[in-house]
Amino acid sequence: MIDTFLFLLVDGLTNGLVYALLALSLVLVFTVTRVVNIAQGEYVMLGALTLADLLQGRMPGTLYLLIGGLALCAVLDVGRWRRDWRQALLYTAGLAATGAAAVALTLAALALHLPVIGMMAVALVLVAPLGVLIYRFTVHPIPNATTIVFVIISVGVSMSVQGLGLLIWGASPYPVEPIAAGGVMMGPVFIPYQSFAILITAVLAMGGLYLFSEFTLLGKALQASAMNRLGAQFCGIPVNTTGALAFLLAAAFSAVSGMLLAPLITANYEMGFMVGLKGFVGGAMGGLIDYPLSLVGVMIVGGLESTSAYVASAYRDVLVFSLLIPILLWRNTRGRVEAR
Amino acid sequence: MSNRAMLALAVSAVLLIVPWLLPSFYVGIFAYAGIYALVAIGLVLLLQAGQISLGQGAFMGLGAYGSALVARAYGIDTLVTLILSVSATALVAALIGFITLRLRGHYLPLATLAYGIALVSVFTAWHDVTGGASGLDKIPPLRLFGFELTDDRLYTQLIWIITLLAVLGLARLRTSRTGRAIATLEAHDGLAQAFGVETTALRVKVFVFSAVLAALGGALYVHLLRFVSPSPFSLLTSFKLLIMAVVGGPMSAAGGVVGALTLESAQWGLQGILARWGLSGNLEVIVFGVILVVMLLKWPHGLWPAVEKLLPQPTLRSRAGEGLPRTALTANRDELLLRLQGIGIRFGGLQALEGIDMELKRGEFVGLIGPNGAGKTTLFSIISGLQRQTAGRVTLFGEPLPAGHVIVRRGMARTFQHVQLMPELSVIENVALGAYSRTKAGFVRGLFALDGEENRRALASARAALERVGLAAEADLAAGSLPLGKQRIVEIARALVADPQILLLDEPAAGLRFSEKLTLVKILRQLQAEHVTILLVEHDMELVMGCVERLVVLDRGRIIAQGSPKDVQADPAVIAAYLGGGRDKAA
Repeated sequence: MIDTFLFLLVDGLTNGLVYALLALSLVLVFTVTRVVNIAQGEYVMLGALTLADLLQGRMPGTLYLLIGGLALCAVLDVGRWRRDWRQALLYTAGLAATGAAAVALTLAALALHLPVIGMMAVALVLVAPLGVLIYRFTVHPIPNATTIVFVIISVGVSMSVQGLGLLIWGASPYPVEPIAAGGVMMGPVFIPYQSFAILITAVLAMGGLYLFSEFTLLGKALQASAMNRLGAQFCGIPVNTTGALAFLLAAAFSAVSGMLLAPLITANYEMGFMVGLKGFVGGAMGGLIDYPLSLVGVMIVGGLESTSAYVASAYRDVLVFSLLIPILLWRNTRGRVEAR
Repeated sequence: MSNRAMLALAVSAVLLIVPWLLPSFYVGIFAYAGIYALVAIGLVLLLQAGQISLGQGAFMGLGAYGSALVARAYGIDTLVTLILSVSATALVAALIGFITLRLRGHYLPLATLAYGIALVSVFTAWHDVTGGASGLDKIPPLRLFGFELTDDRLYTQLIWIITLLAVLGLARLRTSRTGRAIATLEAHDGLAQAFGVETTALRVKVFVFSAVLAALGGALYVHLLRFVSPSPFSLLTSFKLLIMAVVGGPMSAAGGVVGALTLESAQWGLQGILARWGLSGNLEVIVFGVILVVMLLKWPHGLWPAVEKLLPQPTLRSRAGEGLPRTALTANRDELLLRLQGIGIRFGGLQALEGIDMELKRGEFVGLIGPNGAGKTTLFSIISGLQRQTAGRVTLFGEPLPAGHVIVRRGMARTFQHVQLMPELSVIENVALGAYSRTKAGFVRGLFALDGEENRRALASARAALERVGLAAEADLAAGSLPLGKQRIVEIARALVADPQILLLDEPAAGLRFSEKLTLVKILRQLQAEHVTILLVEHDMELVMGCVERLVVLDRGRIIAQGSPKDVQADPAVIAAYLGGGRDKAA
């Protein structure tokens, strides 16, 4: 009995930490850009599948997405040439250089047969910029749109990215190696090393974001944009840069969580959406604006998921998503602070 | 009959004949398009209210499984099972709406998304009852009053009749009292509440209605297919329905039909192309996702406005004859209408207002002035019920100030410093919103066109108010197309239609041209002659000094002077507050 409980506790904590990285991404993106990003989970899928490709010595399909996105960027900014051709040349050259650097990095990584951690870093470098590109394509053109419009747009992004994932990787699942195989017996329960890796990464990511926000100028600009976008703009903070930065960091956190999660399940093109949604259920606890409360939320989600997988596995998703109802009821009771 | 109505009839007739002309394979596709259109129409209404649901597919599923399982197990007439399953869905939607719509904008899409996935998981997991992922066959056909509808063409016709009736009803609703109120929901709640709209209740109604259409669509679907399984009600369906609503656009329920037909054709076309390229799987979702993003970036109003441009003008609803009866106000100038006692408000460490005592008597014309940051807007928000004070008491007509949306019913109307009009609606529809609290017709009466006489009177009042403020010629233009000065005048006309005893004007002259200011002054004088009590916040000193009887001067959250314009102008504290210099001495 106690063994089962401990096992579920460890399993729930591991899940919760993966969702925590998602919730972190969601809160970051929402506070800075007012985008409720339904598509956030797709970076989980991209991270996992990119890592799977790199570990098996294939050119990752993400590279095509990145190069295609950069090319689209160049096409969308074609008007720049007429205004200022020098600047346009510089900009296009920058895009081309980014693409070339990504290809070079990938080729080098494949040639060197880097260890898992090294490949994770390369995958991160390939996936995170996609966040910036998606920001450029979908949020940058209409910065003052309503929350609802952004929700719908993110649904479109999610569909497209998932469809592209299917096109590139097909429907079959890919195995992904953990950072370190095996695990350790702690008392009566076996804890895989991967769980420790997830714990360390989550702590590093959260601590890193905290330090970045508090102690760097860019981080403070990020905070300012989150508190008051217009006010920040008046203070000379380039809100488009902070918006893109939020998307970049969020894509990075989510991609890492995908790479850590993939060895525990397997990677496939539709793994991300559900993970993202569970991050949302947890994040809803903090109204998508409160980091600590969101953390509490995702831990509850992780715990409930493990328990229900054990008790009534067919109803696991039902139970996890129904959790949103008590969470929202609880938020209703939190006074009229957030009522319109 | 107008040209528009004739055209609508002709198009409807074509849509009803089409099933008899198509080869039988395409009849089914056309039937499904009709069902999707029906559900998309509900989403269009939800978009008009500034909300969205990502779980319409699941509502379809609830309607479908509910009707199919009960009919299959107990052999009950499907008319009964249909009503049962639609009512059950409405209850579920009301519950979800109630817990999410009181919270800020982004919970409904998340809650419906989560609910949708959970529900489809139940359909799959509850194998004993639902047949699990492989589904159940032998679902009875639709049986209405003992008549079994087994002919697919006839069934398709029935679907399209229901869909077209829904379009008609919602088009009618759009120009009704409730429709005008729904259009305010997209913006900040201040506007809706100022004219008596209970926003949460109305949002829940709209959401429940959209769920009812979805459930009805689902039930029609399952009795047509005679087979039920979870996959048609999955997330992808919810997303496709969303795309249909967005592609058609939120401007009109007919947009839902346009969106459904467009997307269904696109899907069949794309699947053909993809199959020819040897690609398998749901790859058309890539294109659908791109369509969704591009539509919202480039054409947020969807395809419908482009279609509408080609159509003849719609018939406008009657606005002839007498308006709503107006209250005759007495000339009793001693009657105390509004009283503020010791009002204070604190935002964190900032004491924005402190110890405000003020009275408004019947027929008075009072100006509230003060330098920027004096607290005028905050005081105005407290009086109009948008904000609650942290200290002191507000009394309106001898009673404590009621909740925000009740204030207008008691006889106090306002205008906004930042113009709050519904830009896509016509000027006269915007003005008619002012009559919301004086009329009664609700959602159902609007839908079934049972509000004719009342709506005519509301529009007649709006027309009269527009004539009074000199904007009769602009009545049918989109409010957003007017210059800012005229939009402010429209706001005043809207407040007048509420038949107020007290009128609160928040900087009505900002952005007005000289001639428009003259009109404004004329209107204000006329209102004063009718014993309407006016409280005016304004920066245009010439206008204020020339109009008001009494001035209240605020500075740094306190009243520093009160009295006739002449006395106030000579008051050293006021001069100091405006010009600085001897500020500390004067205080």
